Amino acid sequence: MQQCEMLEYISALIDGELPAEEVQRVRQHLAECLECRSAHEDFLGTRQILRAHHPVRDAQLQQRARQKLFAKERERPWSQPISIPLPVAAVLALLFLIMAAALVRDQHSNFRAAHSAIIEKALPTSGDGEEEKMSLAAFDHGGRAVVYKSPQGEGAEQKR
Amino acid sequence: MRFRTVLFALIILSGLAETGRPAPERSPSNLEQNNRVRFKITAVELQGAGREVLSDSLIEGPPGVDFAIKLQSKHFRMNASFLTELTGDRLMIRADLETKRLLGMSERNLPIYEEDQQRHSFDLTLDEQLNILPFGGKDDLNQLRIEIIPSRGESESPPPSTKPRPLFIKILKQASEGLINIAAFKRPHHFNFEAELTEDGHAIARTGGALLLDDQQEFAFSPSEGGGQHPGTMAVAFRVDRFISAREGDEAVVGFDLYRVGAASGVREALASNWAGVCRLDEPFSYDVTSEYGGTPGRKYELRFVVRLAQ
Repeated sequence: MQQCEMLEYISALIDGELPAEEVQRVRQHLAECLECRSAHEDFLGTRQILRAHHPVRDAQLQQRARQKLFAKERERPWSQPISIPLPVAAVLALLFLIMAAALVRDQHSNFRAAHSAIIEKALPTSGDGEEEKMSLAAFDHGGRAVVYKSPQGEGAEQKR
Repeated sequence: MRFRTVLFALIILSGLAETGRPAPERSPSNLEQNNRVRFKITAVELQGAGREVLSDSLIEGPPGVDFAIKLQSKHFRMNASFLTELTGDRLMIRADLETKRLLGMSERNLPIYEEDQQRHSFDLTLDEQLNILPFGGKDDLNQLRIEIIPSRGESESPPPSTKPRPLFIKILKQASEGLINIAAFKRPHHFNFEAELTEDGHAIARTGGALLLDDQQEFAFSPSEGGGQHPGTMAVAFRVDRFISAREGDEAVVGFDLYRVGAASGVREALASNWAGVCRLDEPFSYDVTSEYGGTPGRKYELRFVVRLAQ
């Protein structure tokens, strides 16, 4: 639907911005055009409502509003949102849990070491261990095991 | 995610990490630090005048560190365990040797083994060493010898706030044959033993004394005051085979024989042989010996004992 081309003059007529000859012409048009007359009545109604409104003048409220609007924002850093992606936060939490678990395990091993320490080390075998160990047979002449004490270094000077 | 939330999460997680941190331990005594003992265990092949080091290891730990050496091949196995006590410059070592040698197969194709057990006690100075010849043959040309050379541990003192240094094993030279297996232990050695013979719950005889781990000791009962009927000359041969450290309470594996010794003849009559059990330290443990003791008919006789760690 095409709007009336005189509609743009209605607002200017109400605001008193039209020259006298134009005022006459627009007023004549208003008498003939239903659309423009309706718009004219709407504008006048809105202005009447605005004039009828009496704003509350609360000095404290204004002060607070002014402070909020113009004061430099001084929010505490921890109240500011930061952007940490959820996967990163999850990884951080996991790292902390791993550290805690490692410390607990360390404590447990220290407890054991302090109270009843047992450590064991075996020299590694290479290849077919059983075959290698057979070399012990070269020393076995059927004798009984012997334990004895001697001065330190006995026989140590003989190096092959 | 808000910074406040992240901060809260970090505080909680830090708390969790804090609970996992080892509790501050008492600083080690100077005695313990200065009495650390070290054992160099070297397996050598001696061939005539020649000597070749096959493996070389180092054990170091607090005073009273024990260790075991195992040697195993297809036809031969040796378990040698050593209990050590360092007092001043004297080192007491109790050596237990067990060997098992495959001699061959029977007519029924079953293996025939030769087994041997030995226990020796040695009193060493720190300029002496212990030698094991697993296959004997002290005069043989070709010998395997395991040398155990004791010495003081590292002399440098750690800061007073640090925890006691744990024992460790360091392999200095590895034998490619997987010849030797070494284990080190720190376990209590000394215990106190108290026993009483009761008749219907009343002690009629008591005995007790000090015990060394895995060392059977005989204790003669003495009649207790107001104990009623004289129990005769009784004795118990008691030993702590093993110490078990448990969270609920330390325990000891014990074994004993109970004897009646003839007053005039001195003949020992075994009332109970090779009785054994696992008792909790510091708590009384009872055995019903009514049928073994043979006292007044209708009365109940018990052997009650308590084992404690010696201070």
